[in-house]
Amino acid sequence: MGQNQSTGGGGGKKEGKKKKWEPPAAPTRVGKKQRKKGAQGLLGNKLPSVTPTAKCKLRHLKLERIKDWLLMEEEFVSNMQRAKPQEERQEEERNKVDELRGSPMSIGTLEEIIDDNHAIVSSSVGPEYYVNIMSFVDKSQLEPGCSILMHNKVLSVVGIMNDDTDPLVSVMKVDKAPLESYADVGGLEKQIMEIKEAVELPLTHPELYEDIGIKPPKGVILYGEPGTGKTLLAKAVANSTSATFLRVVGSELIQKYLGDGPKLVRELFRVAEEMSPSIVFIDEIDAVGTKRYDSTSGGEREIQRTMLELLNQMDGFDALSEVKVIMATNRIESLDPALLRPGRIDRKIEFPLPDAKTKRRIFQIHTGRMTLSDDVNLEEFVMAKDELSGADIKAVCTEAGLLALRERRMKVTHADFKKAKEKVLYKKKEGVPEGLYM
Amino acid sequence: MTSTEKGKENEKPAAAGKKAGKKGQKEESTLSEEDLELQQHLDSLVGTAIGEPKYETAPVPKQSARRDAIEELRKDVRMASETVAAIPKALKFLGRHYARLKHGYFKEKESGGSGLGDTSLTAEDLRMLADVLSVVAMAYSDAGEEACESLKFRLEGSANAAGDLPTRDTLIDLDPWGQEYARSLMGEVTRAWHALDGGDKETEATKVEDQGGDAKMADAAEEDSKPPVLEFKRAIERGELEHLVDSIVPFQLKHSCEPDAVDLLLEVEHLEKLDRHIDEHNYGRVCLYLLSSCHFLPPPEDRIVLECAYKLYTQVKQYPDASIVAIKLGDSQRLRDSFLACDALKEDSFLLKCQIAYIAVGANHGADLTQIIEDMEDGDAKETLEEIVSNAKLSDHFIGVARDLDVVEAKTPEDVFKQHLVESRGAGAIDTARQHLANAFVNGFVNAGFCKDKLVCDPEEDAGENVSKSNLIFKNKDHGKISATASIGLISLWDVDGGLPMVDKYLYSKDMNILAGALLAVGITCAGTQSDCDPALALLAEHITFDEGEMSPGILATKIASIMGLGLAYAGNPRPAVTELLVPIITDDTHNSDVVGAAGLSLGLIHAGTADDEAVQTLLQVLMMRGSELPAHKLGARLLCVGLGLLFVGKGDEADAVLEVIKTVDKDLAQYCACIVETMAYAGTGNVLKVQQMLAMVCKLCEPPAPKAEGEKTTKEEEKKEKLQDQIDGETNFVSVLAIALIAMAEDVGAEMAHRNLEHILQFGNKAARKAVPLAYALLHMSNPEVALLDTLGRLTHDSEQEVAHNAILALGLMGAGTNHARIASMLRALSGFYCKDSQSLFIVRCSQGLLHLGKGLMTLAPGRADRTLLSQVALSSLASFMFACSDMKDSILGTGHYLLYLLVPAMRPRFVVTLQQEEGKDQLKHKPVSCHVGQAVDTVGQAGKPKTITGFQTHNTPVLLGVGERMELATEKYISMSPVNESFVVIKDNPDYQE
Repeated sequence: MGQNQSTGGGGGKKEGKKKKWEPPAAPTRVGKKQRKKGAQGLLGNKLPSVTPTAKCKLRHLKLERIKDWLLMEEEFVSNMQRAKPQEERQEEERNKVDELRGSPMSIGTLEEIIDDNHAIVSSSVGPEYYVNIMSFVDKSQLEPGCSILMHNKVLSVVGIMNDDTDPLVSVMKVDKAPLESYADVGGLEKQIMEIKEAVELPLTHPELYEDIGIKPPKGVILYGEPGTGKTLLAKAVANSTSATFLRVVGSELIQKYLGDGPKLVRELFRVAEEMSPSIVFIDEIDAVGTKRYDSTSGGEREIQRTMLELLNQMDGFDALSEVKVIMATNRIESLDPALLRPGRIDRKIEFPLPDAKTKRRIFQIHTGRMTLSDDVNLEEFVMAKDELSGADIKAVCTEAGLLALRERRMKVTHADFKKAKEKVLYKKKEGVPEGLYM
Repeated sequence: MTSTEKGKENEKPAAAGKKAGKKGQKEESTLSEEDLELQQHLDSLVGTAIGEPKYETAPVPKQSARRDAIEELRKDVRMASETVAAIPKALKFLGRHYARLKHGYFKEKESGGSGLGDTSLTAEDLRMLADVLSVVAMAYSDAGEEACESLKFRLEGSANAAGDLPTRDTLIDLDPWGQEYARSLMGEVTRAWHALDGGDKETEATKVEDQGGDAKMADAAEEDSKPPVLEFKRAIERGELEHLVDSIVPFQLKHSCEPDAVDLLLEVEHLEKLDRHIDEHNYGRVCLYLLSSCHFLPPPEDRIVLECAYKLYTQVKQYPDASIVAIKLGDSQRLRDSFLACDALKEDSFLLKCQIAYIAVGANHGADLTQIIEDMEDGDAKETLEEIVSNAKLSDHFIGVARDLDVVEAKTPEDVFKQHLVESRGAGAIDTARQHLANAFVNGFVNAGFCKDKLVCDPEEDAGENVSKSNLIFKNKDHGKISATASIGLISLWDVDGGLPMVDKYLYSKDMNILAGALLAVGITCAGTQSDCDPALALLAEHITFDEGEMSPGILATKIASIMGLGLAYAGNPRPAVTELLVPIITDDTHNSDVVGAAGLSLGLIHAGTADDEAVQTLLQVLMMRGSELPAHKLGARLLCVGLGLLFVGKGDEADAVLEVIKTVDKDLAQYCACIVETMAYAGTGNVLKVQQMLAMVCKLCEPPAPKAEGEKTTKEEEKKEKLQDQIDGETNFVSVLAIALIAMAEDVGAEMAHRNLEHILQFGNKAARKAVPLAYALLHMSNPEVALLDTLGRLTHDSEQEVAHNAILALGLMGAGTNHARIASMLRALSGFYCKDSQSLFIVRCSQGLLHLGKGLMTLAPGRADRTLLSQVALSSLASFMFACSDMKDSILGTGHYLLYLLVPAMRPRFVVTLQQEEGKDQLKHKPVSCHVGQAVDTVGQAGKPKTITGFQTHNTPVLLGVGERMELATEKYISMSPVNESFVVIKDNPDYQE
């Protein structure tokens, strides 16, 4: 901030006489990292929260009032900047700081803070050094254990590595929306409705829930046979929402070192909270969420601890406000009951194998862009008794297309489909002699 | 269903399939079986209803069939949707038929709706069809939002299920149509209303289109092909709209959507209609909503909502609530009315009156009630009420609470400083005089109101010249003795009977400084209380008379002290006698600026927020006559302006005339004076325009002076003049920054947004602006420390500019005033170590420490009353005037004007809650401990259900201490509180319905 004070408060006018007492440096707050909110003082704070949340004139007026204030702020700042151009000076100062920093810089860890200006640091190679902390480093953000930038020769602390989010978490963020939309989901109307109601609506229209006086659902679990469209639906959610979408696979949460898994879960939810409103999608939750049992294996226990952290994050002491969780699994019966209790997972959405109507729809979707010859009668496949999941149908269509391609035909015939279906079903039941258990 | 219809239905699938055509094909294919069925069912119903069967050959359905179809449609339209997210299916499918339905409706309407012939519809049927159309139009109107088709069909529609014509007496039954529909109607009503307003202004001539034209259009349209968008044109009349509003409002109130009802009435400017629908069940939420809207509405609506709230409270006989609103309106007549109205409630009348009196006194409006209490019949009740209004028992209660909390034991300044915890930085202690003065202040602040301390008012001590050195007063030198002696007044605050004897002995001292201090002490002791014999006036008046000729500085000090004493004693409690004393002093142009300034300030404090004509005239006159000799950099001149400003606290545009006059004052003073008056006039209003104006002012005054042209030489004279101008600008700048906080402190949104602006000022502003910022922060958080802000202030206390640092230290003290906040305490301790060699800074640190432990943590400086719905004008004046005096500390607090710290006295009040119960069979009140919850207040405006008003509460027994932003609730059902807000004194009574 511009008015950064350094030493010398109150002693300014005594400078004339030499060797006079000088006030000691202002004590700085070090060692305890401030939460994001307090770190930048009050500037850049979130805007005041506006109650009531229901749509009403009062809310409108309050928001208008905030807008007025912001306009005034803008006007004031631009006027002041015009009166007092600071860019040049800032540029100069920045150059100076860059010069002092030197380049390249090395990265190290802050081990301990000795006093206001000195600290013990260690670099990745090993030895620890007692070094200076440069005065332009924001000391309130230093804490033991944080990564810092060091001067390449004298190793003094010249900066802080601000971005402390686990890089693993940042990878989880879905930047590019998937192409699948709700229109690409065949059938599943009820499921779409439910997920919209539980996940999207609370983020877009929280006042609806407030009006009636209930807390919106926190999370949903999607379960059902493989290939019934759980992930597809999650993709569609990601496609349609403007909220931050974080996706994880359960197995990603299992880490090599003790404590890393839970830490990752914590980070994940912290990032989600920071970037809220957000949706966290955890696929294949059974990787971590299986029932607890006495286990002697350290690895097992670590996985269970990871789940416990997940439990805590979902409905623990700190309430999540604008973070919704979607989980997907094939095996809901093996999940820990604590994970599924209302409050953590408020909605369990089943994905059944498609019925005839849905199958027809899925066939339509997949054959929509294929050139079919006139003899193709999809009804036959739709009405067949085989248990076809959505994924199977897709496979059949793809296979049929490939068969046609093999014969250099531009049209896919009914025979292709038949063959393809046989192939797919055979693959599915591979190893089991047909008719043995029927 | 009739047989004809059934027959029709069988034919339908094919017809529907044909009709849907290419476009519909794809859409339909996604529909499930049931949906398809529903759709076809609806298609057929529509066909029947409008009398246009799909097949040309099919007979036109009979009236009864059509009627059935319409009723069926009415039923279907209401079908609930499966999930929250979707439109009900039936409505969705009907949407496609909107145009067709509309056509049919117009055609039928043209044919008269006579019911002649067995195929045409009756008027009732037509109305019912209009109902359906209205609902469908809500979602699928093709004529655009401006057309308000939903509303127009509604106006054509029926009142109830029987299809009756809505009349004056029968309200439209909205129940079947649901909340969503009502809301959408509200929107259209508002739009139509505003359109009417706009139309009125232009000419009526444009509105002559009638329905005939529309029907012709309907004829012209082709039957088969999609008709062109056909707009339903219909003149809307105000009467119709009002009738509709009358129907919607009770509907919304019934469904606990009070905000919606209020919003609608606000939009159509008929707030008075509310009182018809308000009863004891819904008044609370409605009034709460009205009250919290008032800060955000533009005038005059802000007053209208308050008046409406007052009326509603009176209507449901909630007189204490009504009295709070009356005070907020600044309407003493209404306050008296609600007080007198209590008589109607037989048994509780006394308790309610007591409660109202307590509320009024708390907000410094007690004087409004004195007259009517005097007119009451003699008896216990009158005595008790007089006691309440004069605040006579305040001191007793305060000490009682202190005894309860076990903090009676007097504290010494050392107990507060906790020097042993301070990291010693070498031997400190220079300028012992200032240290002793600081000790006196701290001693005063900490033991304020306890009537007991260890350093100054030792009864054993003899007050003669040969006193022992142990008394702190005599350790002080010269002018220091003024404040030291005056601290006795602070210690015996509110206790007129006990305090005056303590001061008495000093009143005969030959040392003029001690005498001055004693006079000030008299004033301080009497602050906030009233007494029949007016001891302050009696004692101080004789010292105010001025003799001819030169006065020694000592005598001058006694004069100023007694003037200030009067101001403090009668702050917010105007007496003609006091005014008569002060006015001649101000107008006498032989007095120097300090005397006039003090007198002006006192006059302002006494008449705070009254815009008293005589006071205004007096002050304006002086400003005009002597403006040239009173430039703004002189403290006296500034205080005079502040005095003028205080007269207009919260008066808004009533100050405009005065502002015009001020323009004619000498220019050195005019800018400053205008700024002060404007600030105070809009203090606590949240007026954004004024904030903008103030920001512009800051901007203007922060601009660096234009660089001088080369070779232009400046004479000494000019340089001096420029310096002076700088100083004067600086003072104005200081005020405008504070103004932002003062104006914005009314409501939370503004307060939070003001922070952001203050932060910018800190960044860009010049010294004068920056030194006001810490105080502005403090003003927004009086006695309400906020951790994030403490960090900012902590940094500012080490600012390279000393004055900024000083104000930041003081701001820490003010922000924590009376809270004993541990973090601030440790910050201040660290500062005392840091500044141990800088006697000036140390003095301010000490004062802040004293403020932090104000009344040992039993007092507060917060100006908000009654859950911060009210701002006490007196407290606000006292805080503001103190802060204005801090603009140049060297001149005031760090100089000889340290007694200005006592300007804070009128803002002090205990922060306890005491529950009082009527004594058996007597009209007297006694303290009754009850268990209660104390917790953080929650904003429950417009929330559904019965939300908790406090969160994170703890259970205590009264008396309890209440911080800013906290609320207290009774924990038992055994008692009922008479007061809507549990603050300071709460009258309770036994709950007659209580069961163990």
